[in-house]
Amino acid sequence: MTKEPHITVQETVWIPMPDGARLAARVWMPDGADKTPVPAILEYIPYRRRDFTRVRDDNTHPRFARAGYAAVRVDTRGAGDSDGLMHDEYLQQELDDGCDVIAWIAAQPWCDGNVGMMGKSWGAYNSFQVAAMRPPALKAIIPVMGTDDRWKEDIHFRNGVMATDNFWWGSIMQLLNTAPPNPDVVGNRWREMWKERLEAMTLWTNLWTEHQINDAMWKHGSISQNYGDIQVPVYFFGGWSDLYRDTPFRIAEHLKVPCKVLMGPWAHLYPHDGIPSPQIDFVDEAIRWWDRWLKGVENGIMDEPRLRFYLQDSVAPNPTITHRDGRWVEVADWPSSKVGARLLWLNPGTLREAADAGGETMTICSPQTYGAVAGDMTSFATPGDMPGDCRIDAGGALIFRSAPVASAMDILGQPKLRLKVAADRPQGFVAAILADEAPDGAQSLITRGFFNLTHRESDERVVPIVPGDEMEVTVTLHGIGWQVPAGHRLVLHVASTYWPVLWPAPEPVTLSLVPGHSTLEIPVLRATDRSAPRNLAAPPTPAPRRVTALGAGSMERGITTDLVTGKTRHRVFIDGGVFGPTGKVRFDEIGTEFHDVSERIYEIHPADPLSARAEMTQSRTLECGDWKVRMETFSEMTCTKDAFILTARCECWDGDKPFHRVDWHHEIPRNGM
Amino acid sequence: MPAIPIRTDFPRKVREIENTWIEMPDGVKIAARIWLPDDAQAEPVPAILEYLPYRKRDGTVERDHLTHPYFAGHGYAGVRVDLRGTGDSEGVCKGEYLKQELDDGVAVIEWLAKQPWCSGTVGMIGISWGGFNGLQIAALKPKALKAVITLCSTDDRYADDIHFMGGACLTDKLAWGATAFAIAHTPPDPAIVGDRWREMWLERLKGNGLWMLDWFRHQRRDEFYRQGSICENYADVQIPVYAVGGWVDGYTNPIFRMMENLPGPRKALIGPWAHKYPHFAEPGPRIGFLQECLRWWDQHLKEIDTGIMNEPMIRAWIQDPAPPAPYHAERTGRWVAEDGWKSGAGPERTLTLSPGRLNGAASGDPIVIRTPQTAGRFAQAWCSYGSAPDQALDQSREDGAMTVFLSDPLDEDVEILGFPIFAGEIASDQPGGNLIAVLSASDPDGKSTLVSFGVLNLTHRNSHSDPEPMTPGTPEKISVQLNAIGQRFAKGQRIRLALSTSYWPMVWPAPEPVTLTLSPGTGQLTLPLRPAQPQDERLAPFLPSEGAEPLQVEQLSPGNSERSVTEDLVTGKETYLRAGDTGEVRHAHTGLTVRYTDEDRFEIHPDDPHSARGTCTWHKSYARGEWAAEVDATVTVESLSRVWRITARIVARDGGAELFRRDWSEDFVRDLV
Repeated sequence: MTKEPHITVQETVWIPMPDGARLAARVWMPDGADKTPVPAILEYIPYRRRDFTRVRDDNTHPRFARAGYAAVRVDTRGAGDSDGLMHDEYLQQELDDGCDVIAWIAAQPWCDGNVGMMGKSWGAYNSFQVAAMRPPALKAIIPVMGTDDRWKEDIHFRNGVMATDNFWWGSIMQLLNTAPPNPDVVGNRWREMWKERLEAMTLWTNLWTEHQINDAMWKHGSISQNYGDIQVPVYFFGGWSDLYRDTPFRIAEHLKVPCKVLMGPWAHLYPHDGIPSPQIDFVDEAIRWWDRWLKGVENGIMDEPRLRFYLQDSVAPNPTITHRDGRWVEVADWPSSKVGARLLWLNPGTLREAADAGGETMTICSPQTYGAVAGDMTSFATPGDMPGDCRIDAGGALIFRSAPVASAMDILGQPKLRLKVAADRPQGFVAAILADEAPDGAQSLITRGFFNLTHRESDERVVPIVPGDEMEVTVTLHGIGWQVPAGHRLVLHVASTYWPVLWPAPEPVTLSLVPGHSTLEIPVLRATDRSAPRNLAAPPTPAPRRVTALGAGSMERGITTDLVTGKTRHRVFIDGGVFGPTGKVRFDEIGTEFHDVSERIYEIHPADPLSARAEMTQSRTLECGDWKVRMETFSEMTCTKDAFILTARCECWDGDKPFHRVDWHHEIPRNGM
Repeated sequence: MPAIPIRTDFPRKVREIENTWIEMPDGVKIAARIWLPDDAQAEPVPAILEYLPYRKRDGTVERDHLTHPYFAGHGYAGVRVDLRGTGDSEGVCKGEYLKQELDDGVAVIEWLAKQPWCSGTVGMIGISWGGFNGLQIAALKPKALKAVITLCSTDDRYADDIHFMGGACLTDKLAWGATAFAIAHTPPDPAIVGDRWREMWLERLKGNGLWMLDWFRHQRRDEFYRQGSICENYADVQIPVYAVGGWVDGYTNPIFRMMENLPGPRKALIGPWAHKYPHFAEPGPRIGFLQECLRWWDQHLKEIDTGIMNEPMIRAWIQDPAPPAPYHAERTGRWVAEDGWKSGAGPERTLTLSPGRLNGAASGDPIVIRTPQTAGRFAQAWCSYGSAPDQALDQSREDGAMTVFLSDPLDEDVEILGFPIFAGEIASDQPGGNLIAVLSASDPDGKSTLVSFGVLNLTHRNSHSDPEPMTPGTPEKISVQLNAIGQRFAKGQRIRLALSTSYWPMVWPAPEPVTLTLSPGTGQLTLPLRPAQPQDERLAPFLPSEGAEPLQVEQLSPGNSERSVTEDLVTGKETYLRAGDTGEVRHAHTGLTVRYTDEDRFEIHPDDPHSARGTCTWHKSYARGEWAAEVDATVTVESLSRVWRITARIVARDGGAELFRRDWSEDFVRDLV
């Protein structure tokens, strides 16, 4: 029995930047590191280390410290308690700061000079991005649920189609950007720092909406621009219920360095908190990775197959699903010789092994409400945010149904839909939804993919559709591992709308498919290898939550169709913020009381794409002793045929006194969107 | 109430008797309001009786003012009588169409015939309740009753009334039952009955009861529903009958049966209307219905040959195609006429079902029908009242939930008039189950407008009196008659048939989720063709709509109405909501201020028929000066696996203080419904 090493936690450590700004860090360190330096692990994000991610951090970084690493959780410049201003995501300043933070860490007496970087979402993006700048001390990264390609697979656009998540995420950042540093950390200058932030604040949604092609802004920070820039080993973790499901396949194929991938059933949550279950002990697996690349321990991790996937069993549709049965499978490489392609032809009403001869042209003008059961593409596994029964939407799409599959089909990878398609409007997109239809008729979403037809020649240039001209396009559906059991059918929906996931084209679009020219290629895992992958540990009991609930949170999520006007309204109300209905809480160690409330509404009329409207109203209150600040934000997105219109507002109070108010109104010309 | 052209210059000057008492053989006094020619004593006139429980004093005043003075001005006494136990009449009323009501009606007719201002002949007119009892009293053959105009009524209280459709239980049994429950517990007006109003009210509150209990006690076609069903012996009705209805009303099927079966002189008129008199009905076009009534009354009450009996027996509106909409101000179309009616005697077109298609090619695959409990949310109301938007939305929005069959695009217009029929060999996996067939016209863009629908409780496939369980797994020949309709399908449209096992919130679910299997090649849709005929063109147009001077009202507070369906993504439950509020309205002629608010809330989970629950509430208030009376009525019905569970409450307030309260709670074992 060995003694569990003790650790020290430093609530705030200041990291100086070359320009004099200081970034705030929370640091966990094994006792004795000052005498025996250790490698360090950096997580570097804007989400407020002192309060917002505090509970989450308590479940990762102390364990790294106990395993002999210094864990450093840094707020990016202009966020949380850090100095300076933050003008957008992943700007060069942020990446430069990241390199400087790594250099600073490596130079500390407690650090042996080796640094690893990890993070989920933002922290995954900048792990890739900072790695691409090759700071000498950085030796390995673990990006969790992020992307290599900010155009194809980010929160803003989905393969060239504008996602409403662009608005939603922009609104979340709008609230984050209004929050001040904590006076207990920065002292009396907190108010001055807050004012400086608020006065410099812009509406990021506007910036993102202005860039409607894959231009320099999106290429910046996309390591897919040059995979050779990454010269340290990469271990990517992701989840099938999350947004980022193509990155693992791309990086496994293209990175030149050691690369591992692990994909579970999870939503946008660390795998040890993952929903749907089963969860895995992410920290344990990360430590194996760090041990190999930061400590040089030959622990065999690189002898295992490089890619590991949770192959999910079929399940009845359930927007609040909390568990997925399935099995872990491994492949050595990607593309994998263990995965073959099954080709099905799109015939009127059917998916068959062969093309029907002749047959009439298939057309669909989807109602703007098609996609109602889509759930959130960036699911946080809050109640009701995952896909429902796809058949409820089926009236809005062309439907292609296979015969019942004779034996179980293990889908693994990215299905490809090759279409010969015409459209009757200069702008439009294709939404392809692949579902698993049980004998009782219920359709569970397997995966989906989209394609902006004005981007068929390039993501960098809009080429209007010539109405009636046939186009050959390939829609890549997002990666998935899913077993379709014997007796179930595959059902493909092809639609010209997908609300509220995608912002609609400016006019109703009719798509026409000619039979005999379109195929669906499904990647199927051959049932040869039955070797059992290494067992993954279940997560340990979470660290004690040093949090007191001050109110019961609540959550409402519903879709209302007004049977008088015909409009459909999707509403999400959360008392507790993006991660779910936590209500008001107090962080016991620091005394800060924290309360987020948000309401999101998406509404549209089935016949009118210009009726699309998104609205988000949020508030955050931070309190500690006599200190109390409150931030309220409102944002709205509407459109005309020619422009996107953003109206937004922030109001901040210092105690009961109004402190700052800003209003925005932007009209952004549409460009192929 | 929509404005219609007003007529004030009548051949005879009109006098109103605000209230008079008609004494019944048992001494109970019934209240009547009468409009008659000023000189009727000198020149006696026939009386036209409208006899129902909906309160002559305030409930039906708006339409009464358009109609009865108009009759009076043309030489009739228009007589509005409150049923015993309702409105200003004494006594209690314990249900619909009971023997007491009909005996009282005969006594009223005898009394009218003896009045010095009456010529001794009487006609009855009425819509809905008053249409029902016109036929029922005619079957009792009171000597003075010479003719009837019956609108939106039935000859068969089981087959075509608000309680059942095809042997399946309608939720309107609850919704309308709650409406009647509220009305039956309202007080008389002290200005009419004097100080004894409270005592009369209490007699009602203690005595009228919850009629719905009888309606759930009797679930098959037994003696309870035979009472008042003139189809039991059509020969009882010897006097001339003019039956009037509309295509979006719930009571149009009986008109065709009555034309086929009544022995005496008879006529039928069917417009595009909802449950309203055709001089102010929606959807339009409205007609000069009062002028048409006068031709009928002159013919049969005054023995003036108006030529009306030389015209074809049936006049019906063939609707043009129209896009789906919950509200149509007008349905364009044309009038056609038939000299008589014999079901199934005309030309037909039969379409054979194959998977997805209605084009005759019988395929070898069985067709499975298993629908989520929520299918039907975009249906029209069982009976459209033409006041709130309550007609069907785009039927393609139900495609995914139901099993849909589409014809090829029509190569020429097709006109139908009569009863479409779906038939096929069907097996059920349960002893019970409902089968719903929905006929629509599908436009080239896929949008589909509901044309007609039919419902069959499979246990009633052979008889409504002696239902028999299905033998699970054994196919039987099943036939579903859809509601009669007159519709033109346009060249290029497709005929769309949707089959479903649920139709919520119109029909209560069957006790268990059911899977139906249609044997290959056996499914057929038969349409009653009605080719254009030369006499259609020669039909004389109706005169334009007009009425007497409308009621003077003052809207003191705004009203509103809503109708929506909300899917709760957290619980999975769906809530269908209808709500209305008339606002406060003051009637100038009585000084009464009335306000009615109602809410119907129907909940169900898509996977669980036992989750079905409906709650209907009414608030009715009546005030004049110091006097204020209110009624709150709430009824909930739950369809559990073995029982119907009914809970209800009535609360009456006098001047804000509770005067009376009563609760009901009863279970009724489900009787193959």
